Amino acid sequence: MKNLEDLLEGADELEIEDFVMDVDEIELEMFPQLVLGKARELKATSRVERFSFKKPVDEYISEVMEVSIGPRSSSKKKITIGGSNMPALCFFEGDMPNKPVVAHDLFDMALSLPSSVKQYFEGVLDDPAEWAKKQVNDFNAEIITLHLISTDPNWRDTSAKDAAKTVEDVLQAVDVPLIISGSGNLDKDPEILEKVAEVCEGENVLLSAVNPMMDYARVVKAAVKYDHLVLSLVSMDPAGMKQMNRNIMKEGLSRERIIMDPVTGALGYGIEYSISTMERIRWTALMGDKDLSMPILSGTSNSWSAREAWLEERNWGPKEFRGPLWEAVTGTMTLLSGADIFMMLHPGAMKALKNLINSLFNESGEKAPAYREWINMEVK
Amino acid sequence: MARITAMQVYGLLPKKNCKACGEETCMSFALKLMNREKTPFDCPNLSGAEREALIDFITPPVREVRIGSGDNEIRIGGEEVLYRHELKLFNPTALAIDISDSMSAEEIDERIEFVQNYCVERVGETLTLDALSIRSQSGDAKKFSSTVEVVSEKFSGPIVLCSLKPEVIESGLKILKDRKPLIYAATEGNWEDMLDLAKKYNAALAVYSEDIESLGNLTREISATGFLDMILDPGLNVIGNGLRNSLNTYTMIRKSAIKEVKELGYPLMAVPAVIWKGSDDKIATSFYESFIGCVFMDKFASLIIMHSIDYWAALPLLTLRQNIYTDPRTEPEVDSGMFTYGNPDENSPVLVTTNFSLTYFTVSSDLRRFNLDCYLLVVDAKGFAVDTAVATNDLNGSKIRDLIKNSGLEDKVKHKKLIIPLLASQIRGDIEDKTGWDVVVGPRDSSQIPGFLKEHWE
Ligand code: B12
Ligand code: SF4
Repeated sequence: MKNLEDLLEGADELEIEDFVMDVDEIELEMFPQLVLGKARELKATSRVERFSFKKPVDEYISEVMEVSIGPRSSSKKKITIGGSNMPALCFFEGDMPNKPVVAHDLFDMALSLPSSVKQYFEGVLDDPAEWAKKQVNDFNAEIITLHLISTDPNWRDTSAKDAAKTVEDVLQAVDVPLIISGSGNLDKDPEILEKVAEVCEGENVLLSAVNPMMDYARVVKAAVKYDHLVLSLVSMDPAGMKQMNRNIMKEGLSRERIIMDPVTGALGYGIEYSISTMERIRWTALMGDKDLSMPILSGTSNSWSAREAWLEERNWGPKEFRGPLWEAVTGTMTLLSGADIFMMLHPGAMKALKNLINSLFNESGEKAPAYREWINMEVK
Repeated sequence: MARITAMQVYGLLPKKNCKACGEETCMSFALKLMNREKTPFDCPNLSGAEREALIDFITPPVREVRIGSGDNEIRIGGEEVLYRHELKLFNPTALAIDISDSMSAEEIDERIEFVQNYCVERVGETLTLDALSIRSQSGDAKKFSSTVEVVSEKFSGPIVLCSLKPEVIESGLKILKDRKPLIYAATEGNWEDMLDLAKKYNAALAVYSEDIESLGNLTREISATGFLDMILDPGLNVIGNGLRNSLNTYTMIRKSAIKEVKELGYPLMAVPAVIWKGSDDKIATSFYESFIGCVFMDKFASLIIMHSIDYWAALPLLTLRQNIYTDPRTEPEVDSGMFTYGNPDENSPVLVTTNFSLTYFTVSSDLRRFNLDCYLLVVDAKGFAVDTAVATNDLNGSKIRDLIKNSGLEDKVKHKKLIIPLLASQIRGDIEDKTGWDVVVGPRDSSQIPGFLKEHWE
């Protein structure tokens, strides 16, 4: 270093070739820009000591639990999520052995889906098994979520037996792992999910969801008995989530059979709460809190509760673009905050998020346009 | 965790509680300082050295940079934390729209108008775009300056001038005297000339390098001359594995800044517009540009340059910005009470909602938008949305009863019917019991109120 500075002292013009001959390779490595630069820069860099960058890596004492959905031993597929030992997507600090996964939504009755989603599933909306096949064959679903909404007493009030039949049909139709969700009715879901657990024995499905306001013990016990996972749902409240997880474990379910849903508010309708809740949960897990170290699920399709996603409003531009973009952005914000798995609705939004995930995991062969040329790019 | 605490700031104050700063106590002055509502100059009891120490202590690790002038000046950067829940984020990301000197006059006009007219009403705020960015696609100084001329006459907001050639930049700067534009960009090859220009014309300076060390080196060189109004562009790779690098780079820079690496303690910028290079599908490109813009808005970009001028593509960016820059320490709420819309009479409908700002402003703007004549009871539900308030019992029959009594509603209408949101249907019985009024469960979304009234009211 001294050597080099001495060399440059008093040198007004200096040809780079001349100079290279006088320094050894190590020094050149320390001054890579010298090789590119002109003599004038050499003079300037000699005034200030060169900045050296140290990656801002923190120490974390724990990591996110690895969790698998799908039969443990069979030829059927399964997925594994979690296992990350760094804050969300801070790849410079650690690694994430499992890619985040998108779970494709489907329903056991043709509910009032947004028209921009419906168009993709015309013809299968009344047939969950066919719908599931379409998700797998046409939209490359690696995992699907079957929402048993018809069981809601305020809708069709279908029975646990009917629900079991639907679940069996779907199990027959596809070989991807399943998330099976009740209607969200607090009184009926325990009964439904208990029955689902029974007919899915051996399939290791994710039962969605249990929360403190329902008879969760009934669902958890069924999960223990038939070997399933449960989704622990507490709205935007890390302390409440921790308590719920502990309560689930008290009923006998082991830690690596729990996934957390801290609730995803739509972009414009609470996303900031979700971002902060997930970031806090993830941070707490890395700091060693095992009761919050389960992977996080994002109910991304909640984005459709935002009117920007579905309202016919000419000034805002076509809702066919707004809707999927809204969902894609909502999902991505939770990805950036620590979510490992996403329940999603619109094929376009799923594609955008999957592409993003693939790029982040180095699996996209596409070449980025050379950034430095953006100033003179021509847009057709 | 937050970098500094109110206690620490308080420790640096005179502790006289003399109120000269307009605050009751030094402690509340400390809180105001942290919220940037006061400055160290507001306390007359600090000595010069004490003030220096205080300023030094509270200066945020990400420098605040101003661009534009007068009423149109914007501030970016000035952040204290990595995660919003650690404190709050202070200066919302500035959004600029791309103009090239090779675009037709019509297209340039269209873009100026897009920025000037874009406006969304959300939650009682008017969200707008901030700036225009003019790039020298042609590389020709004359062409560039004439574009800058056209833009500067019609547009009074902040302007970014983009070229790597100092002479081109200067041709634009001459026109933008006193408007504090942003020069894009100083690089390893041109920084001395660009720095001279920034100083001569009082402009801010973007520094570009895709290598963090070179970037830090450049800011070290430049700051050594006393110039600090810098913005960092570490380059954005938008597809393939470049995206991972970019995400890493942005995060590492911001994180280093928070850890007081002062060479990197400047606001970041991102140019998702590069996506348009070689693209032939307008809709897909607008979509992806907006999507990527949102990613980097969340990952610390304080200035974003977009090419798309589709209304729907800008909407997520403006919404996200409003969301992540809200103060996480308080629930945004409005005053409760009875409000009238249009010219209601004794037969007009009475609607019930909560005082969560988002809820109130959404409902309110719908009632106004559809020119309805009605009364709205805004219940003090501790600033919770309808279903959250129902879950916490902050929206209930007794509160509605009290509000009916105190607002004098009974003298205004001769019927006894309340319309409540569908999400509050659970508490219908409770409301009927406590108020003695009939409750009609309305639609789920307030935009459906007009249709609902047409069908169910008279
Ligand atoms: C953001 C949010 C929060 C935020 C608070 C936001 C706030 N200030 O209210 C936080 C994180 C603090 C929160 C906390 C809780 N939340 Co919360 N939260 C949400 C979330 C994601 C969005 C709510 C929202 O912002 N909606 C947007 C506003 C504009 O909607 P709105 O008020 O309903 O208004 C619309 C309609 O109702 C209608 N409307 C409004 N007024 C009127 C009037 C008339 C006449 C008509 C016709 C229509 C109408 O039009 C409006 C526009 O669409 C929802 C889930 C969701 N996606 O909806 C859960 C949700 C509301 N929360 C829920 C719960 C349970 C809670 C907690 C109790 C959880 C807990 N165990 O701690 C806590 C309680 C708070 C506390 N004590 O701390 C549940 C409620 C379940 C229920 N129905 O009983 C929900 C549905 C999530 C869930 N599925 O579990 N929550
Ligand atoms: S003016 Fe200074 S000393 Fe007086 S109360 Fe305010 S902060 Fe304290």
